[in-house]
Amino acid sequence: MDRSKQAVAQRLAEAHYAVEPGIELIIQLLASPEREVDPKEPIKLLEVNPNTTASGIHPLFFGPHAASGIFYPSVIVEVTPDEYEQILRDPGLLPNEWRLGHDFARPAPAAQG
Amino acid sequence: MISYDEWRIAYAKQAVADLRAREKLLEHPDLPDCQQLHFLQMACEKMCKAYLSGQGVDAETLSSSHAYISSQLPIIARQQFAQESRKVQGDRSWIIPAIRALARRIELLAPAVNDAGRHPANCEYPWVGPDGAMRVPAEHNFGLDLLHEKAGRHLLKVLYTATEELGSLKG
Repeated sequence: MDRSKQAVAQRLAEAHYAVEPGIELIIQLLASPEREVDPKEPIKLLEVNPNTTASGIHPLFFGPHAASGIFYPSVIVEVTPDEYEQILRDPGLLPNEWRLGHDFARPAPAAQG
Repeated sequence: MISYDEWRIAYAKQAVADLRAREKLLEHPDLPDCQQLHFLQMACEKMCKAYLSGQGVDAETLSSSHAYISSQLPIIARQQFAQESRKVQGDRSWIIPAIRALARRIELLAPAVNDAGRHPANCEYPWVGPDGAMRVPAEHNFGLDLLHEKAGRHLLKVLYTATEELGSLKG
């Protein structure tokens, strides 16, 4: 199993797509490069979900879970599509000087579950 | 300076205390439902605040809001299910929307969350019903039984699993 932070982020995103198919898009959030090389720096996912409420940007902080291949702490931020549009227009809305990284593609149906 | 982990552990401890109080109340079916539901609502709220405690979050702001359950509890559930997903067979895609709906009903049990006045029923204080009559939480049927709700047992499992996960921070 690939234990790199990027591979773990991909696995976590795929698992979230599988658990809640309503998620439209998952984007990685990044801290500064100096912070990202620190294994204690969480994996950060911004999840765009039309089924959630527009309640603002509230990061949820989770610990690692090695038994399931999640070797790093993680942060999940769930927003509505409208809130995501606001973030695209003003990335400064993200806390902690995080910035938008790349998207995680939804896995093909056969790969889900 | 109090660390984020100290806040997380503190909120988690209080959530566990609320869950234990609810369990005790459930042993006494003669007590009105509003009492155990009040502790359920408080446990959910504090569990969400435990996970919200982290970098860049003002703990004082957290403590003053009651409206986190419906938006945050489904994310906690999703993370837990994602961790288990390799072991689980079958379609679980219905669970998160069902937990979200149930979490909203639990959130509305707090008197401070009333859906802009449309939902005055709550577990703590009397309110005036749409017919102008007084309503008392202790006499009200909230119609919320986790044992028989579609996602009720899943939501409870999420809560108890979360207490274990956050409890491990202490060691």
